[in-house]
Amino acid sequence: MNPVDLIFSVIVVVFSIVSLLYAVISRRLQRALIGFLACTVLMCIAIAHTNLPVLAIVALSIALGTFVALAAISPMMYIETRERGVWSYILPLVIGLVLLVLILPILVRPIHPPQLSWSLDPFVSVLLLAHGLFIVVTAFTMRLIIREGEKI
Amino acid sequence: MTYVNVYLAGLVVLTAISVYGILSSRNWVKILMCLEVLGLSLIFIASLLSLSLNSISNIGAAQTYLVVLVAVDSGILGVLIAVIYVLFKKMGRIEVDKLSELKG
Repeated sequence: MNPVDLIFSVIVVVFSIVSLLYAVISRRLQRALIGFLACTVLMCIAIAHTNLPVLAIVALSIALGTFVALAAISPMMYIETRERGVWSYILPLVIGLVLLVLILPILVRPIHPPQLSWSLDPFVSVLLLAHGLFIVVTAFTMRLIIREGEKI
Repeated sequence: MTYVNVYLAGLVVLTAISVYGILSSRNWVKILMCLEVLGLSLIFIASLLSLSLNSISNIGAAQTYLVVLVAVDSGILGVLIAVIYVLFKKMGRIEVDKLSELKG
């Protein structure tokens, strides 16, 4: 096993967790969006690192489209939401249960890296490209609608 | 311990943080962000588990199914964004617990 891969994976995982925590904890929406973008891009890097480049490109296009869509509507929602403390005994219980259920497949048997795969069908690739373009066009259309609506 | 195990462990933590964000946040945009990260984490976990444990010949089918899952996920997101936009224009706020007017 290559130690460089291990070190790189640890760095990517740590930074993605930190950025998601920042996105969840941050009060300002714009800062939360930056954390969300960093987390998704790091996740796409992780997917590409595990020999799934096509899936990484698809996930990156979806994540960037989502970011553009959220960023397009966020200026009209410039609200500093006052998060209240909702910690109770139920929330840690649910999170612990999720952790336990998801960690089980990792503990059951060892996971080996998959082989490099470029096996998306060309027809599916065209559909995916059209889908990504649809998300981007939808985001810009929404922004245009908002801008025109503010003039009225 | 391979690097895939590190990624899986990190994804499990990301999933838990996303669930926390969905449950604890009152801002719809934050909930949407956590939903998106949760979807990506689950897709990544499913792909890693299926591709690492099954035969190599199923990789194409597995990726195709996962891609469909991503498309469905983004469709849900689009609908939610539209709902949020309408809610904000109608009520002027996006905090979940203040939207009691949605009761039928």
